[in-house]
Amino acid sequence: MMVQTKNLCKNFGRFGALRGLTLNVPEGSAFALLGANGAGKTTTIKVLMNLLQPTAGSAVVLGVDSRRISPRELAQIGYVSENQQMPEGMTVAAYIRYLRPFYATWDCALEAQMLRNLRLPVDRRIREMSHGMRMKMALACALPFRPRLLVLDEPLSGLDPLVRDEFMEGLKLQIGETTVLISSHELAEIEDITTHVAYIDQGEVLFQETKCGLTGRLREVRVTLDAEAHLPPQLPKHWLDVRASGNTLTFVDTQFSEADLASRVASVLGGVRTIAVQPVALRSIYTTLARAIRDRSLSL
Amino acid sequence: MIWNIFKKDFAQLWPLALIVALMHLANAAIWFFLEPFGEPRGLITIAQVFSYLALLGSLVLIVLLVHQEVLPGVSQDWVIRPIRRRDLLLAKLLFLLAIVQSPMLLADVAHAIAAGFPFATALAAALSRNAFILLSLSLPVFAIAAVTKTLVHVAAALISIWLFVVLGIGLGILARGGGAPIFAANGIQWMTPAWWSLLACSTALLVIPVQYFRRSTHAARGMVAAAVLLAPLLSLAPWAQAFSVQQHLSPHPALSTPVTIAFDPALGRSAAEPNSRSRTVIFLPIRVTGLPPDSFLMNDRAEVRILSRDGVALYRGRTIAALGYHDDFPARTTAVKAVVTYQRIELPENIPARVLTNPVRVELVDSLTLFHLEAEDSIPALNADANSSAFGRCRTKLDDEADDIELGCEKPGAAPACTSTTLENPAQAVRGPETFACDPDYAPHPVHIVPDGVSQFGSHISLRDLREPKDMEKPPQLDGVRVILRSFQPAAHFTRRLVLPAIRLQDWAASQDPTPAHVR
Repeated sequence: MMVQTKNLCKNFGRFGALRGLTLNVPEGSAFALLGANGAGKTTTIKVLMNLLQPTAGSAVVLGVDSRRISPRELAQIGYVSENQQMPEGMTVAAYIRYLRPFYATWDCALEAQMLRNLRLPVDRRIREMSHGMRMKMALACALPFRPRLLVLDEPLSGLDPLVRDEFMEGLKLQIGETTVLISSHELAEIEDITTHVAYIDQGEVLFQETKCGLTGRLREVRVTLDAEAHLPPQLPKHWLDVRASGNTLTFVDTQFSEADLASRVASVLGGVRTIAVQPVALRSIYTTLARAIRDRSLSL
Repeated sequence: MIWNIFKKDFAQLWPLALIVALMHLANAAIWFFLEPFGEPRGLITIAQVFSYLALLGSLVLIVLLVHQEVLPGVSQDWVIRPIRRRDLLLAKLLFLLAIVQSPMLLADVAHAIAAGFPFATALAAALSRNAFILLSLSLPVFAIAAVTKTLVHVAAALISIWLFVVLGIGLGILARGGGAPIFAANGIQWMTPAWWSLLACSTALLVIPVQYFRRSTHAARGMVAAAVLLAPLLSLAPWAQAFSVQQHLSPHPALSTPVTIAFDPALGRSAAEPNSRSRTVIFLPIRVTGLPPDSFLMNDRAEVRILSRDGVALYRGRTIAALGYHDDFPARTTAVKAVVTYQRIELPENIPARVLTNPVRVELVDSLTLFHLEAEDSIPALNADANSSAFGRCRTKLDDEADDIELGCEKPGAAPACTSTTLENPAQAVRGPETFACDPDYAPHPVHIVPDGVSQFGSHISLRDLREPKDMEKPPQLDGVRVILRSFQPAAHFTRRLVLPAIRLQDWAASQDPTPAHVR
């Protein structure tokens, strides 16, 4: 595992931001941390990067306790955060020139490619750059040394679609070579690269699994009934986001199984004319789960 | 990697570093070209302000240097880079020494060499000043910068610290019932700033590693806060304890052993002070014996206790209310003989009359410093420009009114604690009175901080005593007239206790006859 946390807790005063968070990020994965604002994603990442000290539990990054991360580990970790504070007075070129000697594995060819692809104005001072430019620059400073682990904390937040695309294009240069841990609400953008997903709520991991597994067991089911659809008083707990319209009823089945779907639906609804099943996009999975958590009706 | 970080910082800060370096060089040049006669006052004031601005520039440079990698917070990019904290700190310290401190050092050395002093003397004085500024100013500001994020935060922190310390000292004075701070205006006044410097330096030496190696901003700020809380307390040390420390630092304590102080009623009453009719100012005739040749005694502080015949305390306090080096007990001699003087006791105006009219017991404790002659030299009284190892480069000129000789000296490092000047006309075998100028500093290693590494001192010497009244309207004839310069250094600090079992204080109020009794 590239990252492992066990019962990780982090308190800010009396507020518990992380409450026994357990997470395993396999090597080579592109691991998406999902969760509402304030769920604990950024705190988790800051603890992993040793920017914050955990209150209890353990976090291991690249085989080292996060509290003991040294320059040796940092030389193998790329980090991009939406609120990263770069040296304002330096130009892009000067900063990259400054960073190069710190990384034994710095690849100047990759650096040049990144700068080209991201269309960064190398002679401009950082304080004169927009937020999007800064994020692209952070990425350009995080990838040329070919990190074993790339940690991205809301990297796409506040970026316009064009810059997002440029950022993702830059990121894709490294996917496959490196393990990526990404926290983002821009799920449509990261869906292509994501291999694993963890959902965090109130400082705890509600579930974590491969994206294939998750999209395999979560399906949107559309049932056409003989008569007008009415929501039965007792719905299975694993049916989420149930909606009725005319003689059609839709829901997200969190325990989807092709084998006995028809009989299970029929036992609940009766008068089933047709059943259509389609995969659910990561963004829809997130909104469905988030809504269910909000309404306290989640069953995973 | 230290060099890489240093280069990056230099690339970012060189314009300001250059400006500050030029300010220090300009400061040295200004003080080189200004004659050491303390005139013109306006220009001197501007030059003094400029020297403080140069120092302020250095401190701003330090803050910006540290803030290149802000330490508090969790969003700084450098924190997630493989930068060794040790390398980062060493790079900052290298910058501090090479780019911030060195220009000051070079400017000080350049000024002293240009003024004609040997390189070794110039370097020693410059190093001493530089080390003091580094330890008591630069490193503490470095530490404050390490626990803050912006220049504005640093300014706010420093102003808050200053206000707190001033408030603390003020409250301490109030708690003692008013009066001046215990170390104000005397030779041991170096102690409080020295304690503060030591506190600031030691706090900085704790805070800087805590921030750079552990980034524990709360702990580091706690240390700063604790030091700030402690600072006012350091100014509240009792006099006796503070002077006791000074006694232990005496360079030649044995010189004080034969010195005795005795009440000598045979001297009679003192003459009245000009413009003073106070009945509560008492002058006790004192005879000082055992002073070594070429020495004088300074009374740093005298405390008096007055008791009734049956032992009831009637008054306790200092002998004077005013501040000053000269008010307590100036007993000066350059000859081997007893010195007679008066111990001035200034009692409150509202003291009960019976304290003055009835016989009382008086107990005096004098904290004394014996100065001995360190060096003597002489230079022409008119238009001299001479170098001497003890006084540095001294110049003389006739003042605009032609009634005084102006003496101005400059010397790398601290000025002598006390100097005396005497005009002498060998041709006519006439010698004027010896005039003392004391700004005593009993610090073991006095350091001169502003305006730069070269101190300036001097005095005005009246020609009146060398001239006949009938010649006063004529231009002075100063051919062959010389100024004898003497410098004195503290040799021993000690106390003497004087007890008068029964005395009527009223009998020792000043006489209205302006001539002292022992002269009459």
